[in-house]
Amino acid sequence: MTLELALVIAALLFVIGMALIILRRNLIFLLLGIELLFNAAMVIALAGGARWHSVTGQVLVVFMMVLSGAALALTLALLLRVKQELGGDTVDDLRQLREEVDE
Amino acid sequence: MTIFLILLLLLIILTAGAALLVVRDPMHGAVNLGVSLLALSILFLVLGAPFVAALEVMLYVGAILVLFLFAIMLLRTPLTTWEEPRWRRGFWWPAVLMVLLTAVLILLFSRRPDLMVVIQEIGPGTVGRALFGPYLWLTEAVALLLFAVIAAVLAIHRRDDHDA
Repeated sequence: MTLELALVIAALLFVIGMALIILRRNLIFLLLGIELLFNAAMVIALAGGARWHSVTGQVLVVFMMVLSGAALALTLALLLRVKQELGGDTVDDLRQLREEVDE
Repeated sequence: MTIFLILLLLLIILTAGAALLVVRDPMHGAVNLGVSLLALSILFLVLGAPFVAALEVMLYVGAILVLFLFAIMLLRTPLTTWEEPRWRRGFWWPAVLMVLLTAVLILLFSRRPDLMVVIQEIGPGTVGRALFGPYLWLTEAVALLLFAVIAAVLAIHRRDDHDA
């Protein structure tokens, strides 16, 4: 029962993260949604490790944590650049890039 | 008993996630993410992974959330000013989250022995032996990757000097 509930929590995290990515305009919230997606994957890996009494699940989660941290550092740096260059931090500001190409 | 604890955690994550979807201020969003991360670390503890639970608190709440706070601070979104009522407008929502987290804490510290033994625990020693045994080359690759990320972040910010 514990494992099933853990999987339910993972599904919930995935839905919330996906909704954040799709619905919110602010890029900061988009990054928060990506972090929630990573956490959903981590819960599933841990549940699998607990189900088969294997250490591999935890090893996978440690690597996922490092990867999400690395990706986040890069994207936050890019976000600061976007704010500097385009003067905004919403998805609509990024659309401006495509319009410049189309012209 | 464990089921009750996990249901409580599910409720916390649901509440914090719903708050994430509706709050305006990015700072409030970061705090809500922190609450759900704390609840997740308790879930990892229940799933028999104390090492990952500690890493979740140290790495996610301690490092990644602080990274978010720095980014929000550097983005300098205009602060909204409001008149000073006695309580803030969104007061009850964090209060609900605080009550739920306190309930989890009380459950944890007044725990009966049967709360955590549902799933066989895999301790930090086993994880460490796996990380520096069969997965050593992967650990080294991650070290290289982190170094590359440092270089990339420096490069992203360095172009500023050339433009100016």
